[in-house]
Amino acid sequence: MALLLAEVPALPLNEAGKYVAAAYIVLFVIVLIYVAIMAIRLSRMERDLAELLELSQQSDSEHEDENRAASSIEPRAESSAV
Amino acid sequence: MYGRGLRSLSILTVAAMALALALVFFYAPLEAEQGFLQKIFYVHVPLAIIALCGFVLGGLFAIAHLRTRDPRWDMRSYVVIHMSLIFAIGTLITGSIWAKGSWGHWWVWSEPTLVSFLIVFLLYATYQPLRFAIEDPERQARYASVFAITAGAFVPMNFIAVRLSTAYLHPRTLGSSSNLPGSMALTLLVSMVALALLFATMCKYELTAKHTRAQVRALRRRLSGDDGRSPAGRGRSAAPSLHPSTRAGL
Repeated sequence: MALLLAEVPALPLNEAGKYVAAAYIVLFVIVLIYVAIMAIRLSRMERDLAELLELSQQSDSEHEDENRAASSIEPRAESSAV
Repeated sequence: MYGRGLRSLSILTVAAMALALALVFFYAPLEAEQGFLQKIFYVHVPLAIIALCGFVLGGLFAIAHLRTRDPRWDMRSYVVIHMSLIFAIGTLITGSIWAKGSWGHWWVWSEPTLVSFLIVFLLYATYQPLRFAIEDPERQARYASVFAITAGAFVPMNFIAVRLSTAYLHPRTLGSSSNLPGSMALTLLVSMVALALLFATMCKYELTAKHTRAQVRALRRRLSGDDGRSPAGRGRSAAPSLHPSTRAGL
């Protein structure tokens, strides 16, 4: 890195330097804001997915309970018929 | 799927941006009149051109939407216009910085290039409120498409009108009046490609995020017992509604 920096020509950062830096910082900030917005959206989506996973687990356990209840009723019904 | 190829596109964008910055600061020569200040042009000019092309592209996607009634075209039109607006803000800010350094003023109202770009920007700034004002998603998409086509046609007309205008201070970067040396032209071209890739990547990210969100919403509706077909439960939004089962890329 030091070698590379020694090789590259020095930039004439006089009066114009601050304006050029400001213009490129604007571009950098635009990209940075966009990445931050995407990060917020991603975290929101992650939270939504976690909720959905919880919902699906709940509905799975409800289904299991229903199936268990149904299977325990059926043999009793059969024995009463006999 | 919208996310296909997103990783390779992102890597390509980062590489192109790095190359463009290296060329701008270590390859392109200093301009005789403006000196180091001219380096702003390698970011300002591509931002402006891509923003204007994006507005026109949004109009073309809107034509495709009105022809096919496919909501994916409306979504593409919306995202492209949204990104172009962000690039237009970048253009206005970098242009003002250059104007302050070169002319000593942040803004010159008598300059047709600046004012015409501001008019285009303000015109498109009404796109999102227009969408938000219409609750019915189908009507919203239709009206937004008509707006995008009309405004998209206005962009090249505006550009030609400014070119025909005689009194301007703003330098011409492209065209017969510019005598850009080869190294500067190459740097400008690479910067243009890099920023075009950045634009495409941001659009693709946005489309992928919107599509994933639609899928998550549909899954939530299905798990909570709703049939998941009606978009009525989404509330008022400026963004187009996309059916989760739609599969497409940019």
